[in-house]
Amino acid sequence: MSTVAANPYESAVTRLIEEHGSRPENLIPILQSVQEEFRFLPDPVLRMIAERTGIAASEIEGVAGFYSYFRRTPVGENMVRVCHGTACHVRGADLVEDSLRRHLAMSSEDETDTSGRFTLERVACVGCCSLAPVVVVNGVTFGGLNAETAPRSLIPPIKRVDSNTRVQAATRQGPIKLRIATDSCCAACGSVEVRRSLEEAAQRYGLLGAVETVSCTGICHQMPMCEVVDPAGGSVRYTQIKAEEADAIVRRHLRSGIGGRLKSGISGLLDWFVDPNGNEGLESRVDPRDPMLCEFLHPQLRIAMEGNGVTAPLDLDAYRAQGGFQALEAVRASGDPNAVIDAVFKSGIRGRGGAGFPTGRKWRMVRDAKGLPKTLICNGDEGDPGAFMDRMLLESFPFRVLEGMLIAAYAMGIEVGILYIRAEYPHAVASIRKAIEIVKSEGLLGSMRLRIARGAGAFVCGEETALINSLEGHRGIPRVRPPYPAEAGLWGKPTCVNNVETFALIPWIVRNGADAFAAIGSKGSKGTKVFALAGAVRRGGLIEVPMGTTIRQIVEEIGGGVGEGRTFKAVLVGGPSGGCVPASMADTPVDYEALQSAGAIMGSGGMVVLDDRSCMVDLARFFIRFTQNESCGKCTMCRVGTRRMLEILDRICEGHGTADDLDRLETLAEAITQGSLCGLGQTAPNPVLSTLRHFRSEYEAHLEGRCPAGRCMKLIRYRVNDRCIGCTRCAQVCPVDAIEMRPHERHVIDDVKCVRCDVCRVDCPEEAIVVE
Amino acid sequence: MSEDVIQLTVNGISVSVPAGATLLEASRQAGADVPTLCWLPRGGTWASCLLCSVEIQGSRRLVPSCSSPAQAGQVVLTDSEVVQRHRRMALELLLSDHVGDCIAPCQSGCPAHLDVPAMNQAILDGDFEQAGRIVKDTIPFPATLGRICPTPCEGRCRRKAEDGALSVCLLKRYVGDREVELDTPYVPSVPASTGKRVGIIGAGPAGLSAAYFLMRHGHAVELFDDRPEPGGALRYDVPDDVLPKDVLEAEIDVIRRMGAVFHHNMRVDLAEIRSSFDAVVLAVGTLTQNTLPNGLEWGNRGVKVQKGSGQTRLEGVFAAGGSVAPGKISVRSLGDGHAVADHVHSFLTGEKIVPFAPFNLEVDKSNTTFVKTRLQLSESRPRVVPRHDGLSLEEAQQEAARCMQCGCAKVEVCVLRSLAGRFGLDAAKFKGSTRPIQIDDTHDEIIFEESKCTSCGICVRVAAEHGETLGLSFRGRGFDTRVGGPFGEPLAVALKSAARACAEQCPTGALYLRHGPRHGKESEA
Repeated sequence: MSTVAANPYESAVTRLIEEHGSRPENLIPILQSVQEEFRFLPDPVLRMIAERTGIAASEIEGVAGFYSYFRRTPVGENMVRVCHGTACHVRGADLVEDSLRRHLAMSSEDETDTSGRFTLERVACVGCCSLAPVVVVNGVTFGGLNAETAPRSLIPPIKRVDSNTRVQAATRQGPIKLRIATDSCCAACGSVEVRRSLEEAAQRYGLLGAVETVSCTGICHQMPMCEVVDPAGGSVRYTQIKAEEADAIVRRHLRSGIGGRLKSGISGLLDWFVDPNGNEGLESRVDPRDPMLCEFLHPQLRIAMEGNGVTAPLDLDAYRAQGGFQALEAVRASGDPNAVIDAVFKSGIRGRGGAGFPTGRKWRMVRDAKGLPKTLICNGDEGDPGAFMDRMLLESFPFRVLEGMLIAAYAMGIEVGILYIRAEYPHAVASIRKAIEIVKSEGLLGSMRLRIARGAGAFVCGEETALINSLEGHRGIPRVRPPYPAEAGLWGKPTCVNNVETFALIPWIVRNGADAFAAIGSKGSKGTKVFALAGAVRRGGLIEVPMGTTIRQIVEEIGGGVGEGRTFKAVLVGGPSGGCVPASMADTPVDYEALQSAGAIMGSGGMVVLDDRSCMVDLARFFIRFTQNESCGKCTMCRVGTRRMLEILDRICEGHGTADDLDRLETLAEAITQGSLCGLGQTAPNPVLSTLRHFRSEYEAHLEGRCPAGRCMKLIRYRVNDRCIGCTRCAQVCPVDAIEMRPHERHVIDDVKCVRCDVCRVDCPEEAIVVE
Repeated sequence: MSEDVIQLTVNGISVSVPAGATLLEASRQAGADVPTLCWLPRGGTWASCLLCSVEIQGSRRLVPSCSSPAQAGQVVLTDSEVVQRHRRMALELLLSDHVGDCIAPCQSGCPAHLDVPAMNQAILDGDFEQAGRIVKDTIPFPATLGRICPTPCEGRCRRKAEDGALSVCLLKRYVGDREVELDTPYVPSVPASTGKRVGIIGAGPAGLSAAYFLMRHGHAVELFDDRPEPGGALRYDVPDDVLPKDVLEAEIDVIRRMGAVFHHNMRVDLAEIRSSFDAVVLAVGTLTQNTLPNGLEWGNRGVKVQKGSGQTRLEGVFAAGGSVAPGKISVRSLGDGHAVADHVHSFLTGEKIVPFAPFNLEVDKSNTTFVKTRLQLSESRPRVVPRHDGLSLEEAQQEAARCMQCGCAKVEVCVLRSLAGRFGLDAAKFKGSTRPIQIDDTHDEIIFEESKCTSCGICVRVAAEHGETLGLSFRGRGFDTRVGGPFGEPLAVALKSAARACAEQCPTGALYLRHGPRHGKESEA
């Protein structure tokens, strides 16, 4: 190896191979570490890995080029990742990206700006849907951006705030408790800073340990939020607080407790908070009996999310205090694994990953399958770009997920477990890693060996056979089924793959009995379902509802309906594999069969609400673009077919579509559905089919050159109406000088120059700029 | 599952296969013709092209037969309407991402369909015997045409807009002239006699050509002409300084040597000739309604013939060349003569002749990238201006080196093309973005034209089987999945021992041998 002696990568490669091992299945972890070290995968490093490990060069190239997490070229000093999840898209992610590119003088093709300071990357979803649209700069999440505010996320210094460095085991002492959640999306809203200030304030006033870091509350639309719990009873929530207000909050509760504080009302400090719609003056203190909050929380039933907002994610005692690990201990004590499977079967629980395969049946198949060792896989490769249930469960309820896995392992006689978690979820990985350590040190693992495998950015790996290929160190390409993983999965041995949420429901079923679970929900769909409620809804967040709850209840009661003056149009359920349920069918219950017959699917739990400003053709295009990007590329139908569908939808959105195009879309959709090998391909056309079914007239309008929702850039124009007072702000902010400055006169937009960036409309204080 | 033999039904036929057999194997055992593209007989599942998908009764989705284990009691349909529709779609999608010319535009533009690229390659290789055969495969008198042809082929040459079209006509003449000068010129072999005799009225370009190609089908021919010598317009209308008579005579002599019998100074009666031959070809040149032989129908500008069969209203009487429509250039009449010979052959033997290029993908003229990329496969120099009448050897080779070899190297063996032809597909059903148009010609043995790749992965697997250190790999994913050397290495570096096998097993013209049987066609030699 004298040729590589001078190679600057030499020592790192040696170390990483030593650390991870040199078997084929170690390839992805090695590459992940290489990228973490060098920020991209230098070709010389890949060659060295081939030489040192004996893994075929073609395999290394194949893997390095397959997963979007891996970069092959050097990057700028700062990484700007623009989220293009569904919620972000609905809320204008394209405009945000355009704005950033304009600001950095980057073309739509450029990856890094000329100065080499910023690399811009489109990401499928960072799982902060309730903050949409979101940009992550060097790991710091900026939410709620628009075309005008987006460039502010680039202002240095951008420091990484690692919420996990400050996670402390919560203690329950002191006169009052200050609960705050700091999972990924809360952290993105500034919860980590708020917690630090609360801790400092608590210390100042002698309330050592009063601040507790708790699990996700699900009330994402009010973050950062602090719940103050008085030992004497009662609690109050402070919503959308800022770090500098921490002192006042603590002081307020110092002496008199909540009752006293409410009576005294001495401080006006907190009364100027801003509500999500930008109306000033809304009180930020929310009593648990507050009608808004009651509406949000009342229809919900927490099983997977039991104890949300109360317990600390990594506090084992707290988890135990809620009955945690009782189920595991009970089944182990019973010595009857088959009874567990019977109970799971009887509960009627179906897989929460999307397809809804009966869990009990899967477990029976794996139990009965020949071949050892069998493997249990927790599928945390949450792919729906509008959902973050799995992330939240892994971050906030790691013990519950692990308990579910341990019960499953016991029931099927499995001793190897792997949690496959998306690369985009570093906090979830950290939380689970810590939880495994704790569980292990408590002796709860028994003979089970658990490890974490991080994904590397491929939606298709949510498909169980692709996931298995990925675990074996290959490109994440689905396998032909049969054989099913239950018969021949990882390394050809029987493998049980279940979704995170499925595991999280298992302890409850065991503890409360199959009948109790089966009593919740509808005929074919039992128990509860967690949804990430986002989009054009007033109160977004993570919700858990009994199966059978209607879409209307979710949107109108829990979500508080759409914004002022807007009309509820549809919800998107099931992400890129699903479809839309139009407002006219809002009484459709959350139920596997009912959703399917409405043209959607249950999916994994993404629910994006649309109002009249959402263009259905644009959304169909959004989803096809997504699946097209995520297609593994093996099979003809999906590889080429989805691209052709995307091109047709592009044409339609640009006003160049023809009536034939609709036929062509339908023909392609049918062929892809019928002829594809895996779930990704088979379901890819669903969003198109369902929007065509429910909103065909919108497609037809596009053929005539109109976008009724005013979304499709090529079909709209910006105009100044007579509310213009001539303040010149629009002329000042326009990035392309399409508006001439005319003080005190009505301004005019030069349609030829206008790039439809939306900045003027956002900035106009008079709402005088309209889209036509 | 434990049984060793599995019984299932394929297209209504019951078959037994050993446990572990695939549905493809079971289907083929039942005699079903299931197409494949990405499949390698050596096993291992890949299932990428989806052409082999079949329907299993009771299942909504189709399954790839190559990688699906046969299961007891399955009722398999390999050719149902659903399967057919699926296959067509898969092929159409593959074609929409396949950029290349099956047939070079010069060849499809030539009325006689001269395989120009193959001729050029033979000239370049200095193999004039081969060049002669290639030319004479479609053109019975190249030295003659090489002096008078208005060159529709050159009008279609992709190089035209770059630095001038290739001198196809002069190259063909060069090959023809060499033959003419030989003491023992190439005389195409004639197969065993069919026992059928065809009378040809008129010994001009169409009649001579018909005679030539009929004899190549094994039929005996006799030509009747009212003038003293054969050649028609070629002899009597073209001045001597343009077409010396000895050149024409030498080329007609080859036809004579093949066995054609010439009758001259004879005005014949169609009915009489018809009664003494198994079939008649009317190739008398321009007709008027007054000179139309009895029993024939007047079309627009000449004898009316049926489309597709070349037959007139009289059974067994065919017409070609100027007698169907006047004013044809010689090469067109020659092509007509070839076509009518095929029709007559079908009439006499019932054997179907596949028409020229039943399926032909052709790159859009506006695609300048395609041309620019192909320039790489040729020498860059302007069109040769001959110093004398006709090209010298050196000039011919210099000019032949300008050929960009537009046609597909595997036109005869390409699986995609053959299936597209079989299914009667429209290449332009779906349009859109495609793979990059790039050619890797770094390797001594093989050439890789990326735009003709189908991502079937056969070469990747073959390279791995050969134990290549680098080999080939997939790069990227989705629509942008590419095949190539790892870490951006060119073929020359990536492939050592496997190169040949990769090219041979590539189902399309993406990978092909640099010096292989050009165009994968088994030459007559």
